[in-house]
Amino acid sequence: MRARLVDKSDEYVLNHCARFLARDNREPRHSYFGLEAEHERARISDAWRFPVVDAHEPSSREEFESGAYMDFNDVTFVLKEANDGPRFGAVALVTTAGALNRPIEMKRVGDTLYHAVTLMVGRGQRHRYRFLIDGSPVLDPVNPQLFQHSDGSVWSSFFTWEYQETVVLERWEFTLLDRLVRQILPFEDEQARIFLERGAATAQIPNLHRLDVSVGAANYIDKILAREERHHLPGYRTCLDMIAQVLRRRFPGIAVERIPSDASRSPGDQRPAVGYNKLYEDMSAGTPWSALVADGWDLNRYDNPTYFVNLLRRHAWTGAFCHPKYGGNFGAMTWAYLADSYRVTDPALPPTTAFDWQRTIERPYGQSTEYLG
Amino acid sequence: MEAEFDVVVIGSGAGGAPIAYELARSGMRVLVLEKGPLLRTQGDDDRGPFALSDFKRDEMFNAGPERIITIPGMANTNASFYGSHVEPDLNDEPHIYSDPDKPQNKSTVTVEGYTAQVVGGGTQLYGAVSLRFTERDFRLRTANEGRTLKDDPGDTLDHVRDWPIGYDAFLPYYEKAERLVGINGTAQGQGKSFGTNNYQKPLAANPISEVARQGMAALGLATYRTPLAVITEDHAPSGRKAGEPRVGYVNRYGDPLGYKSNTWVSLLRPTLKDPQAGPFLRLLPNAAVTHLEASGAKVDRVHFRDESGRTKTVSGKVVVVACSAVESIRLMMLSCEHDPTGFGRRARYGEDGSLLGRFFLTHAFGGAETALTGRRYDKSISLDSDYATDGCAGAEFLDANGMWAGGVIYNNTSDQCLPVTLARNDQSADLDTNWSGFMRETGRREGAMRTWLDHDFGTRLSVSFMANQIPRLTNRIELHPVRDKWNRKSAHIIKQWHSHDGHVMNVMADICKNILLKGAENSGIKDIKPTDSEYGSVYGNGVRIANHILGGMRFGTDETDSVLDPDCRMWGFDNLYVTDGSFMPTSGGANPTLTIQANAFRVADRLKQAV
Repeated sequence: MRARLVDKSDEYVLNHCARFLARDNREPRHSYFGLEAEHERARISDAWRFPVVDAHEPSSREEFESGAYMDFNDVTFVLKEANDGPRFGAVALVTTAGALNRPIEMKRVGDTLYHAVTLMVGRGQRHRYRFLIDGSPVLDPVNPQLFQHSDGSVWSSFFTWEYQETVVLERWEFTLLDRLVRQILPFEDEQARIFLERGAATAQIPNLHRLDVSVGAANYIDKILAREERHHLPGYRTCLDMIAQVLRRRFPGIAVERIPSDASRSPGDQRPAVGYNKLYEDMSAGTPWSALVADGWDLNRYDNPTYFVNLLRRHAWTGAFCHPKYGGNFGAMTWAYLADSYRVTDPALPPTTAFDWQRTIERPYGQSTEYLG
Repeated sequence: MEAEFDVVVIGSGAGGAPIAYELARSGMRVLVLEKGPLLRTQGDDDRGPFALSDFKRDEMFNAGPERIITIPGMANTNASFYGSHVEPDLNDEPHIYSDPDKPQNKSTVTVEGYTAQVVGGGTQLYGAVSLRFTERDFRLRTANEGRTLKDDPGDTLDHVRDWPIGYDAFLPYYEKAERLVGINGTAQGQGKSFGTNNYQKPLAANPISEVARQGMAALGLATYRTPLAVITEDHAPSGRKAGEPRVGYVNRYGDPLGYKSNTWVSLLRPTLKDPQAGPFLRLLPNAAVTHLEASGAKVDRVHFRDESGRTKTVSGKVVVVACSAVESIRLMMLSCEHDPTGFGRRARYGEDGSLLGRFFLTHAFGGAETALTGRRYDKSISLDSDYATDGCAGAEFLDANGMWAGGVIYNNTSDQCLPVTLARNDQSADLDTNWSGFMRETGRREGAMRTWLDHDFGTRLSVSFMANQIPRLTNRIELHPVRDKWNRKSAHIIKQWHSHDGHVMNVMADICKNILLKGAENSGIKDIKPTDSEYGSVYGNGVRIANHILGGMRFGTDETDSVLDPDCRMWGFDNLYVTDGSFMPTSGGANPTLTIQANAFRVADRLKQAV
């Protein structure tokens, strides 16, 4: 496939990369918890922003009116020369977003030290790529996402908006995470379940079996662990592994997704928690987490299970209610749920929705006639 | 790029853009250096009507993913922070806070005290509240002569100064700023005299705000529609067309459609597009000024890093510094350390009695909020504020309460109107504690989470005050040895409240609480539980700044008692001016942006004569 190039101005490229990449200080200040401290990416801020994945900009009225532009992202690849290093000769990109046997020329941005090219890539895709500097392949020194091909070769990789396959989590990890997220979000009652399933069906979302009622929050978490909050991936891996151990001890022979949980918990609920509810409460209990430790949690591997619950709460909520482009809130279903659930309550006003989000948000999610996204 | 200009302006926000607007239109060759990027609004360049904005209606643009503070030796090393997409990474450019009253405490890295690093500066992210200061705010020393104040240990007024110019001198510049920036609101009910009323007509208020208006009225406080820098009608000076700006994505968001009157869409873009003025203005984004260099009393070289990080130099007959107070003071001090016997001596850096960086100010602020029992509204159909009152800024109120100065009170409408922000701001005291309340409420989940949503989504109403802060000599900006991403020393914010600030804040917070209680009562809302309500202030929390960063280079007529002369020219220099909020001797009883813009227009008039 021949990649479709997008003509971005020098200004666009510089405005999306300079503040992160230009600097003198060589301390690894962006190596959170010491991860990848030896890498170039530990020395720059927001390495996850590269390549830059942005909305695709319609180039003509025809493209705009057809709505086809909404199926694509503009992905801008950037490679910077060192201030005190040699100047590169020819710089090119090879990527599965185009064709691996057709290197794409990356042009110098004005008279700067940056080389860049922008491709139009379908939403919901993942691709691998390398740069060619004077013909020699190199990984993107900035982007933390790597992809190991079946032939053993390592590539840089990226995904576009609403990508729905897992990137960093194993299948069992994802399944367990999805189940944990459901213990937090307010969608467990029958009414919410029916609404969201109907919404998911209306939105014609592929892989619906993945959604269940975590509304894509687990998918969001997989994506943020691949990019923005990669520093939490080791913690997630460790905790999911130990949670699985605890559950196996408590429910021998039962797959994690089939482990029972009691009904939706309400404030003041006095019933003893079971299954996932008990697990959640044991993890939230605070030191010394006796019940967890008794069933196999190793505090030497992860010393604060409550911290993990706190983290999971933030990620679950954000994934459930953020803009759908981040991989959660599939089809904007939680916004629709809020709009359907909450009505204006004032004796002087009609009981219209108390969250008319569609008037604000761009198509295809919302119906704004002004804002294009 | 040419290396010599008539005027070099450092910063493109409220303090810098008016200078560029005026002087380019006067035929001077102006260069604006902006540290941040130029982020476009939808359709705002030559790419056609479908050119997308770099700003988005996306809650992750307000406060995005977690980052971790890695600066060693701080009280909050390894803590989380959540910045917007145009605020600097705290590890790249830390602001370090210390408490002058508790020097034994460890310092903290804080997200407070930034505006935004982007063309337009803080006016891209602000809530757009665009109030004038009152007449009294300009002469607080005179106004307090012979008065007795409550909770005054005897030094409350020691460092209070009248501004060298008064409200009357500011009036034409307030009017100019209101006309050129594009502001909606009402003049009637304000506690200031108006000549020309340049406000656009406000849009219908969100109905939840009516509860606040009722409360203000019940307490006898005259109300007006809060002036907001958002256009509601076509705006001829900037060539902008009106649309629907009430979308909830207001405070802490750049507006993708440019209805919010940031200085890019209101002042800089129209100038660049103007056939006569455009050729005289050059805007260079992604250009971080590292230091200034002087020959004698003339600053003749401005050193900066270009978008690749390479060193560059330009010169201007006049240099205007407008990087926001903390960063402007840091730039001055860094320039002093580059040349301690030249620039440093002229700026009196390090001398006994030097006031450079002293009397750093923010605002005394706080308020009250509650969930309105049995009521729910679509708070996303809103701008940042609907109703305001100056009823707590006048002499009668201040005498009755033994206060040196007061301030404005207004309701907030858009706060917590979107679901991610509702959780992120739940029980959080400031930007440094985003998410902490929601994360630790582990019992709130499933059904309990739904109960919380039932209780808080679309029901919360808050009322805020913004009052003058007492100037203290010990409140100051210094350089901190921790290095930024350019290996320069960082800004060190050393600040705490005065005990009389505590009295002011208690009185004002109490009024805010009563506004809510009376408003609810008069609106037929019963049974507001104390547990549903919170009120208070930032007294005791010295790090809180509200992004109103003021003072530190106050202007005055006495060279030994100020850093800038009445024209905002730095004493000791012939051609160095400062036009962000650092010129203020007192912080005013209202959000400062309009006054910064008005002052910059005033200084521009002086510069037209000087160059």
